[in-house]
Amino acid sequence: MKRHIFFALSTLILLSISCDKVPVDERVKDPTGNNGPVDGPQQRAVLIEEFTGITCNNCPKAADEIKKIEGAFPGRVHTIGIHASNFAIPQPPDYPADFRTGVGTDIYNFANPFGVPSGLIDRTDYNTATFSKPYGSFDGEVQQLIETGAADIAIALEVSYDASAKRASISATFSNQKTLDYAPELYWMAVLTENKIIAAQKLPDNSKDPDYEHNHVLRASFNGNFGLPLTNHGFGPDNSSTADASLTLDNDWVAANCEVIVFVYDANTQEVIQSAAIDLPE
Amino acid sequence: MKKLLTVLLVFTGSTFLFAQNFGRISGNFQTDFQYYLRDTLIDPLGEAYPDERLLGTGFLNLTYQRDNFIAGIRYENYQNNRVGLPQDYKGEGITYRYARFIKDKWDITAGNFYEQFGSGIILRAYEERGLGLDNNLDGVRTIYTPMEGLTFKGVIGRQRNFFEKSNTIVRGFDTEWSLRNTLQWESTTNVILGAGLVSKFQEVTSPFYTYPQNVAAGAFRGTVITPTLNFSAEYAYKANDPSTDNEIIYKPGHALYISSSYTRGSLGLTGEIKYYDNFSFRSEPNTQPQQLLIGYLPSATTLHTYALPALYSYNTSLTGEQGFQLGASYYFKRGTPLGGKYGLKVEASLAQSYSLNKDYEYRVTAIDSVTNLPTDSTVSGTDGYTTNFGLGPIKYFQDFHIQVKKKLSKKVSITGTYYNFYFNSDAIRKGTAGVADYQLYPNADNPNGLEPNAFPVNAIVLDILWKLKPGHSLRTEIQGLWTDGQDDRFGGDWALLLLEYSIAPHWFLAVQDAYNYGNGLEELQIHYLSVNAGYTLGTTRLQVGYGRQQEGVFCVGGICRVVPASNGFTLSLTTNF
Repeated sequence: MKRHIFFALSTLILLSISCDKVPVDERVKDPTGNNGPVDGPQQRAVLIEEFTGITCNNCPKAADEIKKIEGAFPGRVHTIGIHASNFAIPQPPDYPADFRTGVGTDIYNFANPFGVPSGLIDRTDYNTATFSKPYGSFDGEVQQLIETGAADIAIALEVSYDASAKRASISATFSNQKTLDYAPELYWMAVLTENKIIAAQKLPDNSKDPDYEHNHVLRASFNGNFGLPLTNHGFGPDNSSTADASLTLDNDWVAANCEVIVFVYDANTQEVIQSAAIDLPE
Repeated sequence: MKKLLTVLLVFTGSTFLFAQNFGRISGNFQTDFQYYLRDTLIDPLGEAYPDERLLGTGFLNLTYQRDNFIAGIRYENYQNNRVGLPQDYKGEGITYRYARFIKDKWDITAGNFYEQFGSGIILRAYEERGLGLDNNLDGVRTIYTPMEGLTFKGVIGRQRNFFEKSNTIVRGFDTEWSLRNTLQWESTTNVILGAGLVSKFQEVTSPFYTYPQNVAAGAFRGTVITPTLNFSAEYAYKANDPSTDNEIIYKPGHALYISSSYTRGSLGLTGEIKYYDNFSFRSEPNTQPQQLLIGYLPSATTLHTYALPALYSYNTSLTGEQGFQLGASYYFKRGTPLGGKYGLKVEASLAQSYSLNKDYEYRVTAIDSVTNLPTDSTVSGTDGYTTNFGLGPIKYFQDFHIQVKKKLSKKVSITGTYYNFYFNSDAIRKGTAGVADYQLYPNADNPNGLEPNAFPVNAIVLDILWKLKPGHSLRTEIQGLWTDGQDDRFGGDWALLLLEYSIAPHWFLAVQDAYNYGNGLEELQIHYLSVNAGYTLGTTRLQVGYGRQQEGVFCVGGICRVVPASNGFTLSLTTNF
């Protein structure tokens, strides 16, 4: 009997050693550091496609988390706020805003997330259970992708805006920074997002904030719900190509608060290879 | 040929015996289909109207046994998963396979296995298909029984995550000692002692927080069993385990669960106490709400099966709650004034759940450059809170119900139940509970704190069984539910009538109308009419149905899933062989 008690206690002690206590002063990291823009080849930026809704009480938590991530990696995180699902249906008079779009709903259905808030991070892990991700994992996912260093393809953007016609035009140049030995089926997509929209939002405590500031709200796509093929773009290290598109803004959209996000992705894996953003000129 | 054999096994429902030397194969099969119809009333956005129109799932379990050797597989098929169930179950494959060898004092399993230590607080790997929950472990389990009444268990493996596995390694050890068996007591009383420890190894990347790689949880438990009394208690401790669930706090977790029952003559008494403090325990700290749970926290509430009361089922708050359930039942025997000619059974139960009594601690994350005063703060990165003795200020749930069962005559028996709930919808359905309820506490913006969306619910169910003639019976459910509560599209008063005609042992036909006449949204004051029929032959059961299903909350053991309203035809087939 003593032998058995010794065996049990030994095992319990061995297992209990398998436990790490994080010291108080090591719990919180300082994310600011060398995470900003760097010289040399264009570094990989990360695209967050955030699924959200005006009556989703936990969605402001995800928005706060994204704001933190953007602050930790300045200029290297681009966010598209996609209002979709039942939580995006207007419920007047409390929640009258309707931020749903056809392109957003299509992307939401394509991602088929478990709910909101959730999101895609560079559309990694396609066809797996972790394609759409809970917002609590956004920071780690973004960091891992940021740490991959130089992007395979660099994106340079030029944008113009005709205020009288409310017409925005984008020109994107995609330049390989290495040989694309995985032979991607390249697509490019450009979308318009709007910041600083004030509208009612349900909060985590389930109260209503009538003056909530919505950012990154997806307004429209320049070139289809899943972009267009990047034709004639070779896989060699110095290959580059340019694509153009334009879009007429709705009268309700404030051009000064709008941003154009462009990304290029591999249709074989759906993974976003690189993304870039530029403000719409006033 | 093998395929043909499998098909024959499945559809004949027969038991197949190889020659004695080849062992025995047994199994079961289940398939469910639903054809969806567009219903803009209950589903204006078309979310519950799948592109596929027809969705179907299938499960086949096969078990082979020869002497001390057992092996089994489970084939799962989702084409695609039905609406309301996790959509990440998609495709088909062998999701469960194992080989098990039992000899002398050893029981060894390699492959997938389910396991539970004690009441499951630190480890419960189980499947609940109706919820789309399966957190089995893929690895090795060893059970060693050196003497009667003494058991050691060791497990190591990784948890299932839909069609994949978590990267986190789970390892555990448990021992249980039944004193009466080991010490050869001649008493009718037994004492069972147990202890377990589970540790996970996780690799989490974050630019903001340091996550521990190894997180352990340990538990001690004891049970006393006498002919009239059964008492068991388990206490568990968990080391720092920051996660999305607990707002990334580093406080250790504690859990206490006590359950007891007492029976003497016609009287039965039950009692449960729960105290869960920051005890969400998952393989991965940031994952989907019902995925990769290592531990299980008993809800200490009644799981209601009647449709309307089940709309307001309780969902355990993993990161913090406390409460109790008290139950009593009494059987008034035949021939007594209340028992009458056929006897009378009365059962009553009261359960309450509250927040913990906490003092939160915050970390300042932003300071006004002019006033130098904090402008933003968070609990994340801190211990989160300290606890005080006593109930917390926020009530999550109350369930009082009383049930009377009475046989009125040889042909008619009736069960009547009255329910009274206090339902904190924000806590139970929106997750503003446990650590997250700091948002309701008084702060600079809300000096008096915030009131959650909580409301009373009253319901009555009459279940009348009328045996019309031998083999023929009619069961009628008359249900009513009254509440002013509304949570988005869900709420208000209901009435339900169910008529179920059975011809034993093969047939049944059921018609049900649930009418949400008091929904706060006028467009949802509609009837949910459904018709179902079933045929049973031996161990095979076929059921078909058509109708509009109301949004429901489907719970098992305190874990719940919201199933959206839908409209369409259903077909299900189950068989054992």
